[in-house]
Amino acid sequence: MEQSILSVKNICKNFPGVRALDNVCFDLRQGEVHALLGENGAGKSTLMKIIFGLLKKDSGEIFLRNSELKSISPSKSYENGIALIPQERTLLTHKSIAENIFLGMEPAFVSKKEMCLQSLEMMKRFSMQISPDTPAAQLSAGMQQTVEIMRAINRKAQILIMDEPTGGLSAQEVKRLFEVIRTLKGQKASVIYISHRMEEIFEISDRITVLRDGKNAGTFGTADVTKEKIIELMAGKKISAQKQHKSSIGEEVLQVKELCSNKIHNINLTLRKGEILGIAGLLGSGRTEIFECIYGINRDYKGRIFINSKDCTHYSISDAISCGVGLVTEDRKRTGLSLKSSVAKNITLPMEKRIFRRGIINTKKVQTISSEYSEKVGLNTSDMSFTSGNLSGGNQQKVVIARWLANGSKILLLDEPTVGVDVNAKQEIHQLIRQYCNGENSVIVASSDFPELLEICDRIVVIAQGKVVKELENKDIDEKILLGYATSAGGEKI
Amino acid sequence: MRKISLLKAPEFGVSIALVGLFILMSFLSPLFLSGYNLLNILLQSSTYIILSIGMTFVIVTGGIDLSVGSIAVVSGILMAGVMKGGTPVWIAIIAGLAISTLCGFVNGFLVSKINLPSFIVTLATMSIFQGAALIFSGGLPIYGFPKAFSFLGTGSIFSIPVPVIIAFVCIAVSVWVFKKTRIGHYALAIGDNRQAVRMCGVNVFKYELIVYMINGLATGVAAIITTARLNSAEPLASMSMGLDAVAAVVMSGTSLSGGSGSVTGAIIGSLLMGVLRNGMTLLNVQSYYQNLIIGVVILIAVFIDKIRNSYSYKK
Repeated sequence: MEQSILSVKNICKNFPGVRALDNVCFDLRQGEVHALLGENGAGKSTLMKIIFGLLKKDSGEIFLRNSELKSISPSKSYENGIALIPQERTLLTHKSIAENIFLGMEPAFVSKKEMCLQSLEMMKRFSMQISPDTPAAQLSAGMQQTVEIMRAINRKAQILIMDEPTGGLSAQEVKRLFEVIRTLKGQKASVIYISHRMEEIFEISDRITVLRDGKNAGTFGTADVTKEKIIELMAGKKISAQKQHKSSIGEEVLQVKELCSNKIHNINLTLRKGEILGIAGLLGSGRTEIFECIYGINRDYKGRIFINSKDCTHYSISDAISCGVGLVTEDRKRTGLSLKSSVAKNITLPMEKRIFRRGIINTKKVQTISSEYSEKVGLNTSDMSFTSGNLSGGNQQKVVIARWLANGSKILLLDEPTVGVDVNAKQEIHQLIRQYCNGENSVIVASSDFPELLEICDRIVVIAQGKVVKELENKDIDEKILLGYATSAGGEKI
Repeated sequence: MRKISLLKAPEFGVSIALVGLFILMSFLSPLFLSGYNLLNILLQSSTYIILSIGMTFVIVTGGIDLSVGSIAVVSGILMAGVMKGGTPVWIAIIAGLAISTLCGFVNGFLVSKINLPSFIVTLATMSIFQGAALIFSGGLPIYGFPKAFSFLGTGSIFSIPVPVIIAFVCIAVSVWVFKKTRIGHYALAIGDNRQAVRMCGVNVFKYELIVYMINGLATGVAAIITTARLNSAEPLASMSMGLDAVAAVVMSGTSLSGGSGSVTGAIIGSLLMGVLRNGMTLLNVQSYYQNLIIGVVILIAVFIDKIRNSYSYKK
């Protein structure tokens, strides 16, 4: 095997009250993809930030090609050929692809032509067949990701740190990203690949390191280890995947009839009391748009929507909420939570009528409601004044769910409920959804995570290109069948 | 624990600056700590306190209002004009407050309903309101008011100047509104994450509108004091009025992107400016240098806040 290019020895990092990294050792070989796994808060990001120079280590050593790195800063890291591709896209959206690739690296006298030519050359290698003049805003999430990678390559990076690179990418784009990564490997570059998505890790990585509670819980060759083993190491305990049991399903509570908007065509759906309905669809298939119509975010549609047999077509958001509908959006940071606000405030945000009396806040009520429901969803803090932005992804999602439980919603719309959430929290959220649906309430889960739908749903509707392709009872079906339908009808090919 | 929470308070930087300046001044000038001078500082700060309170409501929603100087002028000119026509003082005051609230409504409507950036909207209305005041007054100041009106600017009750009393009433009311009512509650939430608040079925438009109206109303109150104190309504606005209010708010750690901040912080910020101006006058600092020093102090306060922030991020 190749020698190690980067090695990290006995790194410790303390934050007040928390030991974020505890004697972590880690090494990266030349030309390998090394996956880094761990629950949220396990220390992955902290470790990467230390390697890249965004944070200072308390103790420990970092060696690059056998020479110790004494002081590390982002600019020195770039000089050393280390690039970090963060989870959030950092492209300047109004600038062209070429300008983005050369950002911070512009020659003293910028010749646009030269920049475009060089970019074009690079884009060919990553099979991007568009003009380098295209503004970044017009690119899909996957292409933006590729541009970020090209920016790193352009800085002669030999070590790429990718933090959740496939978040928000369609299956097709993930496939293309993997091709890019393999190209990089072919050029002897090394990649540290941080992700929650087990399938991807087993597909792309050569070795896997699991972090738990700031410690290295083990490093393995990908071929020598199983998913179950990895999950066990991450969680620190055995998780048994429970197959759902079915309670009674009652009358229809939601009907969507011939729903058409600019992205969806003639959607018909019914949801019954106590049922968990899945909407399986890839990115851009229209799953989010269906929710936007039901919830009244988009009121420019044709067709009818009935809630409990009442015509609720073209209802506003607040009307939908008073009909008992709640929405957990796909992007909790952008549209779900007020990140600077407390847990209590976030949970009670829709309860204008309940927490205010003649316009004056009832602090006690806010406190009791929020503690009751955060306990119900198993939030890891009992401090209701805790700032929501400091919670981990899974706990943030629980806060959003607690909000609707507390609000007494009868129909919950969940859009990608476990995106960016660690394995353990994912199980807990699934458990919550099942408990919620015991009898009285109903749920629609829209997701591109098909194993998730198969695990929790009673019935699954597959959509592609804004149309319902197939409706299936969740019996004797598997991921392949769903994926087959989801990519049919001229949808995204895989 | 207590120490940390104090350090974490957004008002930390500006409070330290205020206390530091206070101690420094009491050494530098024997006159500084006299009761007369302290009351004088409060008197001089009263309009800024009121303006910065209104501005806080706007800024925590993520907005800004540059037009307050012009709103004050419109309001002052209208009050003066009405009084000159022989109308009772209280009607003039109501008219002045109504017009300033209406100006705030216009700003709020354009920002919230039409969805234009607040910076641009209020830059435009700053000019519009100013123009309206000039047209109404014919460009000339209106002066000489009934005693009852002048009393609001120059009188005192139990030797406490009336403007200071008005400022205290405004402080009490606004702290309560900010902390206890749904207006303050949702104003902060909107500045934090507008989309998320909208998704919860909250009428974002309504609260944004209210916030700009509150700012207009506060400006109207400030206009009463300045007009009464000068015994004259000037049709030419002081553009720096709005910016001073913004500075007072920002100094206290209120982020211009919204979602955090407090009325208390804005008050401390205004007091800091007041102490600074008063102190420099006592020390006979030339007015040119005064501007320079105020700018430097604003930067220092914001810098302290930045250090505090990076500390609290590391937990």
